[in-house]
Amino acid sequence: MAEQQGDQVVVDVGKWEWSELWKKEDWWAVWLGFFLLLMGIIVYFPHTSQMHGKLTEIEGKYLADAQKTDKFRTIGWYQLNDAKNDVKVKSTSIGKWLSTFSKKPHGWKSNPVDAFIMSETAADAKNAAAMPKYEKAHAAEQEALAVAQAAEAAAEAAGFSDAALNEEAKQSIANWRNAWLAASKAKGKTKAKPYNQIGWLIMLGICFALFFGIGTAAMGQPFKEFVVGFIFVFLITILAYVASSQATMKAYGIGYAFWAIFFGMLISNTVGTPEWAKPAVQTEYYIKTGLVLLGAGILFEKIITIGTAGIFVAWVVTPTVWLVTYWVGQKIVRIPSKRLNATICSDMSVCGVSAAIATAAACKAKKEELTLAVGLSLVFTSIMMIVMPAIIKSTFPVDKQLILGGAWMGGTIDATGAVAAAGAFLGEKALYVAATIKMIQNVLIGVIAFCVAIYFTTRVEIQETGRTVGAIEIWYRFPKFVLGFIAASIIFSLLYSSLNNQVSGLGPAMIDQGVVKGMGDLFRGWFFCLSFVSIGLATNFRELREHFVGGKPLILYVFGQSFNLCLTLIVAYIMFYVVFPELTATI
Amino acid sequence: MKTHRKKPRKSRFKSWTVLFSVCLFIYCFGVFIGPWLMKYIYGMNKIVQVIEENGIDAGAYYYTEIEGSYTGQQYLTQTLQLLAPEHYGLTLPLISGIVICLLILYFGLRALPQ
Repeated sequence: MAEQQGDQVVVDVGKWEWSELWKKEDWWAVWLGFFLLLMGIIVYFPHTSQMHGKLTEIEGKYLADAQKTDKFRTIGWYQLNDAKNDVKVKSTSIGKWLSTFSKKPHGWKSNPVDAFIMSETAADAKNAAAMPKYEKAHAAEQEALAVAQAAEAAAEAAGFSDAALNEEAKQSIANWRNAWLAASKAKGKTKAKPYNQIGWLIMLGICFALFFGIGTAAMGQPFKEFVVGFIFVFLITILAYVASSQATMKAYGIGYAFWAIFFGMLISNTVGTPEWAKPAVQTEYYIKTGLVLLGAGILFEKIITIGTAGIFVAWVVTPTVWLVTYWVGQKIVRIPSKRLNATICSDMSVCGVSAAIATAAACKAKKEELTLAVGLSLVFTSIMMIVMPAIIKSTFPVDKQLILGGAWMGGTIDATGAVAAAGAFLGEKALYVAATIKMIQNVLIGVIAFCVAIYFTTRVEIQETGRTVGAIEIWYRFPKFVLGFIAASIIFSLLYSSLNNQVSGLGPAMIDQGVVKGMGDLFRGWFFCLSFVSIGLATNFRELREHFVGGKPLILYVFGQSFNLCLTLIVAYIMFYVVFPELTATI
Repeated sequence: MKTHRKKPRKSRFKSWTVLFSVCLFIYCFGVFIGPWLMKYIYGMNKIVQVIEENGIDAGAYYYTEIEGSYTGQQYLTQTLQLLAPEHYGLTLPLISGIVICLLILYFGLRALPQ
């Protein structure tokens, strides 16, 4: 049973009714999230044997070449790697249709219409402009490949026992990889296709209105009122995506979360949120559905990717920073709200916006608290994305820039996109290490959200209500959508591992590049954006300012991030260069 | 959620003016001011070039939105499987890392102030 406290937080009180299963948004989030994931399984899993066949064929073709020597990565090693990367079940026709159906507005520079429409002539002109660069890069790649093949053959003829020949082959292959990378990037620019997104967006809006409207009606709110209001919320969501896809905004790393909150707040604090739109301003409903979808991407096998060294950087530093920062927030900075404190801690120590959303929902934080945490993260992410690679380039020893620098950035920069940009700035290897460390940290969201939900249910709420609680009371109060979030993670982790056991790479091809990216992810971004628009539309500047009194959230963030930077650097150095140097050498 | 009373005509005009002015400023920032400002921020031009060349969405919030996460995972998995198999899979240090993480969370949350 739900009890309203003020007009902000809904708190469960000790009574269970079966009707909650269809009357509470927590459960509706679970049902809707699992409906989409089930659809993903139905759509993609019939292609399992096809993907299995492709991977087996690839292994048959390249594996022997890939394993010729352990002195350096052979050409076959890279060909195996590239071929496996291309096996994606979402590349099937149904996957492509789903991608077009749920596509966000396209990138644009100065004309916002480009976000929705591109004519065939414009696409052809774009391709033609990019073609000379590609042709040049392709020719250079072919030339580099021939040199690499000759060098590898020479090293092989010497039985891979001549150090000089091995080194020469290694260097030639590295040159070929750089040329290959440049050619593949240039090729990507020659594939522009004409599009008209307007019809698809209208269809998507109608589907979302029905999708969420059914649950809203079951929860007792008029279906028609919700649908009318949803049109407004959806239009602001599209506007937020249009702003975030503008070239300059992309370069500054200002994503849709910022624009959704910003436009929502701008409207609500100037002309006001229309009364007729308010039935669709359902922050929690959208956010929790998105979080269940996010759960499917939390795959536990991913943590073994970077092996023993990475786990200490991602999974030991992160909870330590979280706990220390939370303690400092309570005892020294004295943040008035424990929920704001917890949300900032997750935001800063785990992985920015996605962790902030999960934690805020798990501890039932106010919408202004989530807004503040997200705002802080966005500002510092943009700064760190530019400053950290520059510091690493100018101060780190050359041989440690890629691995140590990558691990440091992956463990500290909040947003994954900014981590990738900063990593790519240093080089391909730094990008891989940084993105993988961040990916392992992303997996920690599930653990942190679960622990935060338990902590707030069993400790903080007891203090707030002055009542002790038994096990059954914990169940009543526990945010139920977290169960869906954890269940999605466990189910898809098991599926992922069982597929990988059949043939290496089948898990990523079917789950990562299928149900997660080809279904869950297509809609999760929209749901989060809808929730951020709702936050903005229901937020008053004055209320937001009250949470920022004395700049305490900023002080806490700066302290936590400074501590995070120091600890991550120390642990990354110890793990990669003192404890496991032989592992680092193979990367 | 606060209900908004109907505003007087003058105030409504002011509100709409503010709304459109801010939107116009955002457009100008994206098209003129932002690109101009980049020239004066140290290192910004280079990172923008990297973002454009690699097609990276710098505003992405989760690893599934970044292609580099998948290519990086495949690269590192294959590296460990073929070149350092003793470091791949559920090794003792990996398990100990997970256990330490859970212990830190368990004892840390118990020790936090109420």
